[in-house]
Order: sequence, then C-alpha cells, then structure tokens
Amino acid sequence: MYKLLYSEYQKIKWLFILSIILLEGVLTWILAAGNTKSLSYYFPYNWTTLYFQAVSFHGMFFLPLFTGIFAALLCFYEHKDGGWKQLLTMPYPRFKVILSKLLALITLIALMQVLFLAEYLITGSIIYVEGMIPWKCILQGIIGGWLACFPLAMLQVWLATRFQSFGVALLLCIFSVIPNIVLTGLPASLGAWFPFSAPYYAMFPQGINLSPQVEPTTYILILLITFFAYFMIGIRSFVRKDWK
Amino acid sequence: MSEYIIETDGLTRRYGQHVSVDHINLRVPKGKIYGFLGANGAGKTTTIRMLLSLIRGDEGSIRIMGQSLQRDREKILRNVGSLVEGPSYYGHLSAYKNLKIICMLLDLPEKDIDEFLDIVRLSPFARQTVKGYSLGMKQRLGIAQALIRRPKLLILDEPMNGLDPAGIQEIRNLMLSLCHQQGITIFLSSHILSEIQTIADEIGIIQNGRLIFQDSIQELEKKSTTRLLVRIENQQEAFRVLSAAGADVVLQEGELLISLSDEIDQARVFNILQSFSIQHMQELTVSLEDIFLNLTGMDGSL
Repeated sequence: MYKLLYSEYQKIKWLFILSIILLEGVLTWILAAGNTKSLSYYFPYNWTTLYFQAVSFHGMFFLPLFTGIFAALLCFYEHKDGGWKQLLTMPYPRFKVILSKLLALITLIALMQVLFLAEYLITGSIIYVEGMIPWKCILQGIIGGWLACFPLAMLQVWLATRFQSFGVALLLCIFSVIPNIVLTGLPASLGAWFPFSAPYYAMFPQGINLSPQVEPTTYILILLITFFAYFMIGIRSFVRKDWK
Repeated sequence: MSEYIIETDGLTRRYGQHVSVDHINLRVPKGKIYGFLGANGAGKTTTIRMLLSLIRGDEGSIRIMGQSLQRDREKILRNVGSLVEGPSYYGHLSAYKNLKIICMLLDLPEKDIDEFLDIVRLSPFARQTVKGYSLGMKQRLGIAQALIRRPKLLILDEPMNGLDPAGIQEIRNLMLSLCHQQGITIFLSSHILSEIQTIADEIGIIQNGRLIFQDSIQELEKKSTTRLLVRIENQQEAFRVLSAAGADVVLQEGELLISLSDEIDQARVFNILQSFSIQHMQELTVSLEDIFLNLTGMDGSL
C-alpha cells in the first residue's frame, strides 16, 4: 500500500500542483485582505475577520474545486496512455489501487490546508491585523475542513476513474461548486448532504452573524454516512469494472 | 503440476448479445512459444484481458501456473509480464522513471533498469520523456516493462505492431532467447501468421470467438494439401477417370487441378496419369498463410 502511494508521489507533476495551489493562495488572500480592510466598518479589523473572509473563498469554492481537480489529475496519466492496464496487472488487489488514489488525494488536500494556514499568517502580518490569532478556531477550521473533504474526495476519485476526459471532470467540478453560494446558506443538516458544500461548514468559524447553522452531531453523522456511501459504491464499482 | 502454464475451460465472454469469446479451452504448454492467431475482432484481445483479469469472464475458468486466477490473482500476476493493445506508459516521465516505478512496486532492484533498457536499445533515450518517443520506441519500452518483472509467463498482444522489419526481427530473436535460454513461456497474439510462424511452437487460431485450431505448427502444416496442375492431351477422359477413382479434381481452362491429401492419394493419381500423355505438370504448394486464411475463412476478405 505504501508503495502504491509512493508511486503516486512519483507520478505527480509537482510543479504544476504547487503552482495552482499557490495561485489559489494569492487570489484568496488578496481578496480576503481587501475585504478585511474595506469592510472594517462592519467587522473588526482582526485575525478572525481575515480568516473568515478567506474561508468565504477557500472553503466555499477553491477547496472543493481543487479536490476535484486533484482527483482528475491523479487519474489523468492512467487514462492517457493506457496506464490503468499497467497498474491493474501489478500484483496488487484493485481496492488497494483505488485506496492509494484516495490517500494521495487527501494528502494533497492536507498540503493545501497547511499552505492556507501559512499564507494566513503571512497575510495577517503584512496587513497588520489586530488582536490575537484565534489558534483554536482556525486549527479546528482547517483540520475540520480537511476531514469534511473526505466524502467529496472519495466521490471525486470514483468519478475520476470513470471520466476519461480531464476537461469533462473539470467542468463538472466548476458547475458543482457554483451552487455553493446558495447551498452554504442552508443549515448544515441540509447543505452538508451535498459533498461540495460540506467543507465550508467545518471551516467557517462559529459565533459570527454570518456563521452557518451547524449542529455538530448531525453534521458529523452526515459526513460519515456520505463518506461511507461513496466509499462502498466507489470501491465496488472500481473493483468490478471492465478495463478495456 | 500440469504441463500447461495456461489452461482455460469453457472461457466465455459476452457483450450484450454478441459472444466475443465462446467457450474456449486454451492449453498453453510450459516453456514454449504459443502463437494466438485470429483476425481483428476475433476475440484475441478479449481473451488476453481475461487472462490478465482486466475483465471478467461470464463463464468458465482460468488456471495459470496451476493456480486459479480468481483465487490467486496477485500471486499469478507477480509472475506475468504483459503488453496489451499497445504499450502503457506515463508519457510525462522518462523511460527510466517508468521502469523505476515498476521496480519499486514489485520490489525489484533498480540496478536492473539499465540492463533492460539496453536489451530494447533505449539506453540513449533513457532520460527523455516518453511522450516524444516514436511508436516503435514506445513498443520497445512496453516490452522492457514486461521483461523487467522477470516473469515466468509473458503475455504479449500484437507485440510487433508499430515495429519496422529490423525491429520485428530483433523482438523475434529476443523472444526465442527468452524462451530457450530462460525457459519463459511466451503467449503472443497476432493477426498475421507469417509474423510468428518462424518462432511459435504451438498455434491457437481463434475465429468469431471460437478456438478452431490448437496444436503444434507441424500439425497445422499437415493440413496443407499439395495440388498438381496438369496439362494433358485427353483432359475430358482423364477428368472422368480421376473423378471416378475418387480424386479431388477440377477441370479448368484445359488443365486439371488435382488436390493430393496424402501419399496413398498421390500414388493412385500418378498411376492413373501414367496412362495419359502428360504435356506439363506443376506442383502448387500451399503456404501456412493460405491454410490460416482458409481456416479462418478470410481468404476472400483480404
């Protein structure tokens, strides 16, 4: 299993992945910094405001979007030049092959979250936001957001093994994150069923008048149910698939 | 242990109403080169995909190296090198790195890579990304990928595709040496008999999903009939006498075309012909390719 994961690491075009993550970071933090400054009349000019402004872009759009893009990228080279035939005639059970893709994907998402945290600290220092860094709140948000991506990650890996075209997968992701503008306004007990919306609820801090309504037990239960469902469907479908 | 490395029993695969592979019983002897022949669409690739568990059969069983493919899939695959419908590779990586990934996944020593790149003559291009390779180079990389696994069984689907005549000769020699010196069994498919008749010990011919012939190449040769083209004075009379004696004879454009199936047949025909005045006689030999085309009914379609 470790070897399969390491082979994913070898195949990834790191320069491209890191570039798009950094590009997302620059865009998110310019927008977040801009909003924190321009809306300082409504929200205190502090670390919490900067964080939730960034989550409005990162958690709502880029995190779910990139989960889909990474999933498609992880399967892209197998689709392109018959790589599946190579990979699936290796002496590894098929479920381990798809699990290694899932693990590679959630590792990439973790990397994106770590960079998000680093960029937060850098941006805050540059624009001199006031007060203390709300460590508990942001760590909870960043780690929770990562965990809340798992159902989506499983769904995306499964779809990526089926869609041969990177373009189709990308378009599907873009169209799936747009409804988040509306869906994330719903309470988590409804919105979290939609896997693209789920990470936002975990990332957005509570106790602000913009905070989404999240009932933790229900929310976690929805995440577990959706993850388990996509996991079962995805693995079963991958294991039984005919590879032509 | 069975003398066969691949044994299938009633192996069948359907796509909707269409039966792509129809109850085939492959018997591939250990340590031999087995040529799996058939026209495009005859079911060769579907069979190979089933042997590699890329697709499942609807009926029947597969045993490879004495083990059930369904039960011991990973154990079997560890000892099988394959090339299915063209090479599979990661185009954005170099040939070296492509092989390195395989070595890592299979716990093979990385130092083997150079040796195998050398065997397929890719050493000078080892560090270039594969997407810039020619089709022949990619095919050779595919062969290196199959060989580096040090398999007991090589399953190669149309391995000569995209190779120039020199490349084909090279791969033929390589296969002969792998089989004869290292005892590797090679199962290779082709739609052109002449491509493999010089190296294959055993031949299986598949047509419309059915295995219509499976035996040694010598047995296939026995299926050939010698034909005599005879110009003779009294053709009508000769035709009548030969036909009455049960010979397979046709009268065409003043000449007799006689098919001779065995030696007894030959002796009988010569005895009859002696009583006529022969002006010209020519033996027409039938190539293996003709037999193959005849067997598969493709002689009209090519």
